Amino acid sequence: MKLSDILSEKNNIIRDGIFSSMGTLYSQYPQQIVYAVRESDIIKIMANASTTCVITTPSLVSMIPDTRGIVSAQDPQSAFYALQSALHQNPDFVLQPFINQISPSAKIHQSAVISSTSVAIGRDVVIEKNVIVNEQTIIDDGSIIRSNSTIGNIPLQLGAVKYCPEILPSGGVHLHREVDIHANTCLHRAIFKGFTDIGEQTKIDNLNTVGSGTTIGKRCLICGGVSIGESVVIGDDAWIGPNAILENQISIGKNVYITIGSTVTRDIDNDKVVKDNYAIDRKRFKKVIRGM
Amino acid sequence: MILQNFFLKMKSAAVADSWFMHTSVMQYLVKTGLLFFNYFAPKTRLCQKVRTGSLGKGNAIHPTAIIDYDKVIIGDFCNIEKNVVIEKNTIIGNQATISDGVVIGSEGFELRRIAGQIIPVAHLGGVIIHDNVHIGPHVCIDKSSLGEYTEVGESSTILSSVQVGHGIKIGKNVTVSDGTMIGGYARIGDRVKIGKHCSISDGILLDEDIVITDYTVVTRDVKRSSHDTPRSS
Repeated sequence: MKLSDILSEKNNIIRDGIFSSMGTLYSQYPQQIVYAVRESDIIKIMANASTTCVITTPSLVSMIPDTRGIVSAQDPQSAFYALQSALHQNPDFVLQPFINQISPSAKIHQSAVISSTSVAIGRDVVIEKNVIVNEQTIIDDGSIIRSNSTIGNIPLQLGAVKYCPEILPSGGVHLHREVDIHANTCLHRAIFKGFTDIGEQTKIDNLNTVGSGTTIGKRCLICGGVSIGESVVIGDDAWIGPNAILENQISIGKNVYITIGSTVTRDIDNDKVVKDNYAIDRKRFKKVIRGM
Repeated sequence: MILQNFFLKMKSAAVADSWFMHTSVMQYLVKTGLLFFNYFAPKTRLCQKVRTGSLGKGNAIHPTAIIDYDKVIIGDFCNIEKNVVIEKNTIIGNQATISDGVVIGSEGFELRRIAGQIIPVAHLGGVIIHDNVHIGPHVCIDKSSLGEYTEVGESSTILSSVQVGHGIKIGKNVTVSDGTMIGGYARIGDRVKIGKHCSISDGILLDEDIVITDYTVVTRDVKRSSHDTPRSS
């Protein structure tokens, strides 16, 4: 789809471009449109090859590379969510509903509530008491979901509520093979076409919240009370300690160790150990402390 | 007891990080041993079992609460509210209050990362909740992984959204505030007060009469020195 086809105000389009999906700075949807508010976002757009169009403020327009289509707006975030709600009727931008496919070998407790459409549950899946599984959820073989958890609820996007009070999510949740979700955990649905994706053999403890559009790699261990923001990308073999908080739209590398009670607000490279509030690399932290 | 000490020793960082544990032969041996343990231990005497359940008199239990009555012992005059889930091998004393959405006796979070795979450890224990305990909404209390009980002592109060991990021993008259996470095998003494959103690491010992303020991260044992005077209240 071309930018000039969908937008009514033609003079806002600085350079025309083609897009076929909506996404965030880290997501890898093909030909995606994103919004940029800060100068640091421009570097992320240049690194991400799948981004083809950008909605941004007039001051940042000159910094965006020539290959991307540009729309200028005073408030890029509100323009982006207005576009999202406008495209919700378009079948190219929404996951299509399908008939429930529930394997006969899945053990589902009678008190669990499974949506009547668009749920796929694989072999040997265990769903315990009072679990709620909403539509557009795919659960692969051998996963376990423990009591009182909610899979695929509609997220509350605080930034977007200001502009469009009704968020219409067009994505879903995908749990891969042998994922464990423990009690009282919430997994939000993705807002854009795509999935909140939990990798193979990842185990998530009690009382967690995983934001919409988050991608978690294989064999991660996530302890109790962790709240993970929206559109976070977590690599394989990560370990996240109890009560940690991960900010929206950050990427965390492979084999990262985030200690107990950390608050992570920026990107983390592979094989790092981070700790404390505003978590930074452990070695750098020790150097700073010695220098004082 | 000997077995428990052996397990705790094996779990200590010095043993787990030493070079011989990372050799491929040792990894293979540990993996097969763990799979063998997971398969056979639930069938042996190591596993705690409540053989016959019982229900005392004067209990107020909401119809939406899901309780495994065959393998749960509940005392007298308890108040169990909506959507509570109580799994097998749980013992609840008299006059306990259990609020909405509480999950008691669920599987704990103990996993081993061996040879590029994650293998859960079988949980064999149960949960004991003593008399006069108040448990707030959405609390999770896991069962112990060794053949013993996770305990919450007499007259203790646990407020909302608290995680009590596997194998924890909480003493008498303890207060744990909202959003606190307590890691596995922690031992908390009598009359301890824990503030909101604290994180307590696993295997920690908190002495009697200690106060921990809000948002604290506890990663070492807290012991009461001889100079401290005990609280009057």
